Amino acid sequence: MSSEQERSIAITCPGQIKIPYTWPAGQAGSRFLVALRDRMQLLGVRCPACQKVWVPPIRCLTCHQIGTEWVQVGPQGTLETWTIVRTSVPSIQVLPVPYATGVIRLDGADTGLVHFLGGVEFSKLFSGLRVEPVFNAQRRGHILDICYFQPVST
Amino acid sequence: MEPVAIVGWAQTVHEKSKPDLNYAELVYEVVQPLMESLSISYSDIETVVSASSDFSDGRTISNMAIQDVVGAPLKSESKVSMDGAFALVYGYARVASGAFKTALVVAHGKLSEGEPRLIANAAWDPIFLRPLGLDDHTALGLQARRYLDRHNLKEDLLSEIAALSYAASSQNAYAHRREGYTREMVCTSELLADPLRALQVAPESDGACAILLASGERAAQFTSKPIWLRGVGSCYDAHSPGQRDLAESMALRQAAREAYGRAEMSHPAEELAVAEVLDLSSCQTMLWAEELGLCPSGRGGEWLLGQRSASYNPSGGALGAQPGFATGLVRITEVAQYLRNAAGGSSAPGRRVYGLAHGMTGCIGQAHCVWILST
Repeated sequence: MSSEQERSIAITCPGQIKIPYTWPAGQAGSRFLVALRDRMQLLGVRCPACQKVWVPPIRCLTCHQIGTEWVQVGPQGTLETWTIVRTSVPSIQVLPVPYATGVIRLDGADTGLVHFLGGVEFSKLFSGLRVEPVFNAQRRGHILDICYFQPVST
Repeated sequence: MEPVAIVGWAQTVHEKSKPDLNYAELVYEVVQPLMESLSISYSDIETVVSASSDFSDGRTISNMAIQDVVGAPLKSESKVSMDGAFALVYGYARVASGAFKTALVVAHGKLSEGEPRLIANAAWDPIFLRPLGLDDHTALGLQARRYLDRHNLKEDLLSEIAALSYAASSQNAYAHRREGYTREMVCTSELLADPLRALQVAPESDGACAILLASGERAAQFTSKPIWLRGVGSCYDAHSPGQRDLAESMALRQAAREAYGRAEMSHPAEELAVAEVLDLSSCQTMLWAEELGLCPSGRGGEWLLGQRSASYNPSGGALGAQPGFATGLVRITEVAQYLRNAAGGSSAPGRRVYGLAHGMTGCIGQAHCVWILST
């Protein structure tokens, strides 16, 4: 049998793995998400060694120290980089394409928060744009309690 | 420590899909020719290290399915769920320690079996990143935009550099993309995640790669032209695209510094004859060259388009083919082949010829591994 014929008789078995998980946000992540839900506040944690403020809160990746000082950051920030997502993958996307995603350096933070950009024409996006969050009226302690970041109204 | 040599290698032709082979058979497609080229049998392989992704294979402990084809039953075998360049670290350690005289390092990727976008999304933190629909294309887009902005570069450079890779991969019989896409074809390809277009990012491929390592004393038994592992460095970076400046990679710089130090290279840019990097976008083709110290920061494009002393991604790199976790191991075999060719017909008299091979796990370069090889 030629290899071409063999390829034509190849059997494949479609399948899908469906496994529900329950991922804890963790102690620091929960505190961040509770502040988002209850007070519409964005929190970071300051490294006691290098003073860097990490948002979302995490053990300092440079000094390996656990920050104990919680600080409120933002709500305004500066767009560091951005992209416009063009290809539709409905099972992982919550917005219809095309939509914009960016990295936002919140005022007072030393790291960037990844989130959506909205309320703006794509052609008006640029690195350095000043943005502010738009919160959901219904909040559940989730990163999507922020709808998106929009340009600061002047 | 024992000196360690690469004595043989094999890779498959990398393709969009190989539906006629399950992944164990895919692995056999490299193990069998490797053994044949060295005239050895499974009994000559003392230990095995493999690299594969459970998520890609859709099986837990995905290496269980390849035990028979790598000859592992009743031997030690371990899997690294990272790029194959990291698997080589473990294989190297087993031989360098003196515990084993030979080690088979094998990696496979069969990205056609799953949904790469969904798997890429699942690679991100489930609390802060996954809900945003982040995947590899989105993250690569964020990185490319940041890189262009930081150095005030034009988007067209991404097409120009990709076309260089396709000129190389068109000459590579193993490559997935062999069409020789031109700059015009690249810059009119589908926009995926601004500024990145479809032909500016690596394809998703099916393929495998295998390497046999031997201790210094055993190497001559397998080949008169061993390729020596002279140094390695690896380094992790932050996970989130927000936790570091995407226009640079301190982790790659650190990994390279370690590898150069262990190989006792003081002027790598002048000493290296060849470098192969795992570049998932044409932005990374440039950025990795900079962070390896081959050219100044922000000048990767200029360096690639100009006169270079080192051959850089002569295979076409990952834009030519990206068989999952085999991609970094392929870079190592490409460098080994280049050095063997450079050494000519006889074992290299006199001067050593050096090459660098880079592997990476995490689409925007969360973990880097740099190998220095020589004749």
